[in-house]
Amino acid sequence: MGFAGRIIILLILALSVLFLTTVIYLRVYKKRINQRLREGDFGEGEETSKRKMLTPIAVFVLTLLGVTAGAYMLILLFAWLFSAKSDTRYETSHIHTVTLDSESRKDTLFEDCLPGEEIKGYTVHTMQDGDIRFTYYVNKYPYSGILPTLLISAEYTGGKDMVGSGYRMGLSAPGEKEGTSFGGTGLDPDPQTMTAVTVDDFAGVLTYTYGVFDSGDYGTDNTEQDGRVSDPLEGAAAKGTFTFDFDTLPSYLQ
Amino acid sequence: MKIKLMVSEESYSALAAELTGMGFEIDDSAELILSQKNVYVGYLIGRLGDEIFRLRTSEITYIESFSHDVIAHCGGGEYRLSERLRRLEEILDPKEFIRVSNSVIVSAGHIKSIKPALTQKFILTLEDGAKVDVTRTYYYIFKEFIGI
Repeated sequence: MGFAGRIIILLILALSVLFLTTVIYLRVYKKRINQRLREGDFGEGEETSKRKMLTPIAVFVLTLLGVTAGAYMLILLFAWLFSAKSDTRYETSHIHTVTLDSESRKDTLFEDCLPGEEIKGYTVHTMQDGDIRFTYYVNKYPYSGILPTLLISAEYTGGKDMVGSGYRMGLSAPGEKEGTSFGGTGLDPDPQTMTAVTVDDFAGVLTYTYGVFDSGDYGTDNTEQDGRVSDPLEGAAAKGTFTFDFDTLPSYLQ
Repeated sequence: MKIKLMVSEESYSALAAELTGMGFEIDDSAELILSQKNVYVGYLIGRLGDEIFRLRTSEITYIESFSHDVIAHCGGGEYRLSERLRRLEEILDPKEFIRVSNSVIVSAGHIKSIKPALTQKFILTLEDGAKVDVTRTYYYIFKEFIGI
């Protein structure tokens, strides 16, 4: 029986209780008042030591209030007992990433933005790790939910010719050492490629590793081993890592 | 001038003699009434056709008013009274008679049974079989009178 069925049964029970209570009280009230009639000794202005009885309508209203309150509590109890339970060991956060190369960027707000140039609403930062230079943009108003929280572009600054690139992105919750990671290869080493990351209330750390390949032998070994995907940047000629802590984003109250 | 005396039996004779000496005529059908506090009538004068009857209040089941007529139901007969209900409420023993609606006064001693309704109303069945409603206005007064 579903939740709705239980609610209907509860309402029928509540109405039955209300009806029975009222009918029984009316009978008791009638019996009592006729008993008083037989006893006599009534009269205007006389103080009586007899205990006063509530009127049937008062009993009806009080029962109605009691039954309504009881039914409401039971509905809350049912809702609590039969609702789906979330696993409170994990916070649910929504993280969305999308890679925009120079071609796919044409259809976005970031069409005319080249890495390193100012983007309204974002602060621009750069960092160098080996031969990889990261340019990243941080949304000044990350909780508006309109624009991506973080834009990342990576560029190989070494002198060699590279034929392909790949990335690995890792996300770890606060206090978590190893989080989830995913990645891919096969991209052109285009510095205009941007990765847009949108998060809601995720306060963990993002690790973004970018690698470039000088030969075409890459991106073939993404098989799962022992429940984990192998490193897509294995064999990269150069790679660099950029980390970003989402906990440093401005809060709602600032 | 005619006057009706509504006083205790102990003081009736002396007062009647004094008033007669002053030129008053003692008459139970008089409009002018001299009454004593906490003394209530033991009988009412009622008319049935052309005849006038002296009705014992203890034998009256209930009294009701129809437009300008006030009728006392007593011993199966319907007797027309000259007093208004408001006046009857004052002169009848409040331990015995109670007003239950704008148009009815009942004798508590002649109530056979009481049926309560959910809608703040009592339906009284009287010894002569008549059914009388205690209206919402008089509901709590009646409840207090019965002592419940």
